[in-house]
Amino acid sequence: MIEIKNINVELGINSTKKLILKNNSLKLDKGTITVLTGPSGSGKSTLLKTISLLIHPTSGEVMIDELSYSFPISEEIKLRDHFRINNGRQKMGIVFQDLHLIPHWTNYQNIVYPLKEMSSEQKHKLDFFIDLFQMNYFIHHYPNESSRGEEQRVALVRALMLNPEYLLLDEITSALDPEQTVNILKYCNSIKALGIGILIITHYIPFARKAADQVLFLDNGIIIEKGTNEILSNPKTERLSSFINSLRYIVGIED
Amino acid sequence: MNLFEIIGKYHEEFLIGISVTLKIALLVWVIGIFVGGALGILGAKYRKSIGIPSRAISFILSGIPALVFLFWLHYPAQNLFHVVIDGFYSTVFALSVINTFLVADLVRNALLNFPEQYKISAEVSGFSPREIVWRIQLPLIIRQILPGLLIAEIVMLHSTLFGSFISVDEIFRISCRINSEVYRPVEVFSTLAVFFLIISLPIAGIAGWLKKKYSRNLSKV
Repeated sequence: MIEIKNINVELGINSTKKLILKNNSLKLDKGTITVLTGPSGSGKSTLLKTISLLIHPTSGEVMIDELSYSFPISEEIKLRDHFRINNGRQKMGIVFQDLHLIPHWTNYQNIVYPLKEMSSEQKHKLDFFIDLFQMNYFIHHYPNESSRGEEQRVALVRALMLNPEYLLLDEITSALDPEQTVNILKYCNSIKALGIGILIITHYIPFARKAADQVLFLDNGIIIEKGTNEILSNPKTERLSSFINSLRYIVGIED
Repeated sequence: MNLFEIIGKYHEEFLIGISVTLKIALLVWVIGIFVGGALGILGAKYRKSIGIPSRAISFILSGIPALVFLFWLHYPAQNLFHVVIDGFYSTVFALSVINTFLVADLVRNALLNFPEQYKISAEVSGFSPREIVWRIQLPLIIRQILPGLLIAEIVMLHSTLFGSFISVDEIFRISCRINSEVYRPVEVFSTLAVFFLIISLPIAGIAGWLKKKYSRNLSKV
């Protein structure tokens, strides 16, 4: 289980310092899908980077299974904890919003280079993903020759091939067509069944309704509502209600 | 006296000139790339103590013509410090200083502007810090600095001609001397141009190969 307690995150320097996340706590269980949603600029990506220890919180605690990290960390301890932080991070597969594929490697190299050596089992697994996400025709292209949707699938497979215990996905469906979105939804459900804990950041409420065991609504740096996917149909707070209504107005969501 | 007769008669002088030019260029390249590379890396790491002073010196040097800098080092500076240094070493020193700061600027800027997201991406994919440097940072940085570096090194090769103004027997000075004897400027200076082409073309070829290998267009198509 991943748990964060009373996390505050302040970013920027001197006069530009801003409190991005304010006293948030949450739990991500293995074998569940948690959807994190909220308006742009509410701090969703910062929360994901905090959970994955890429951003060190100003204060609070992050627990990843048996590993516990308390913040603030002094410079002295930061150095000592470098390896412990890597241990925690290695349990996670992360797909960033900007994807961050290495530009001088092909899509295939982006997936296999992190594996160092590829066993026959991994080779089968990769073939399975290539078929599932229909990647055959662009797998040997470079990222700059691929569309955003193709890059998203490459980044997802790169994360999945590392056998993560937790999968953190930032706007993974934003450039995918409905068929690919369904594929990802189905695949998320099947890897959830294998005991992998998944956190998905999305604005795509129908996806969240279908996928989520737990929904978190973040606004202005604070998780103001959390619960099952039921809260997307019957929000308790005015803010979530107005957020869903505005999406309903634009894309039309079935009740 | 035709071109071949000139080359036949003065081939030893030409070879001496070429060898001096190449010696100066090689020393300037090696010193500039290694010292400048190290200075650039240190400048990116220790911005205040090394980066800013190095940038300031580079800025000042960019405002002084190479020939003026060379003359100043060879005449007033030697007079000030009561030393006598051979023109060859003055030329190597002056051009190496210029090249060092040019390379340092290129390397420091490439390091400081390196997109952090690739490092993060590699880190979460399980690459070690050493692998991140060798497999991700270095190829991308080489790609970024290569065009500028090659231009700088070709300019350095051409700048070796300034050595002739302080009596260094490099190829240009030798050519002028031969011309004053035979008075056949078309043949002599065409030969000089051909010699430079012979030196420059392989470098341009290697540069083109390296550029093709490392600087694939990464922008979106």
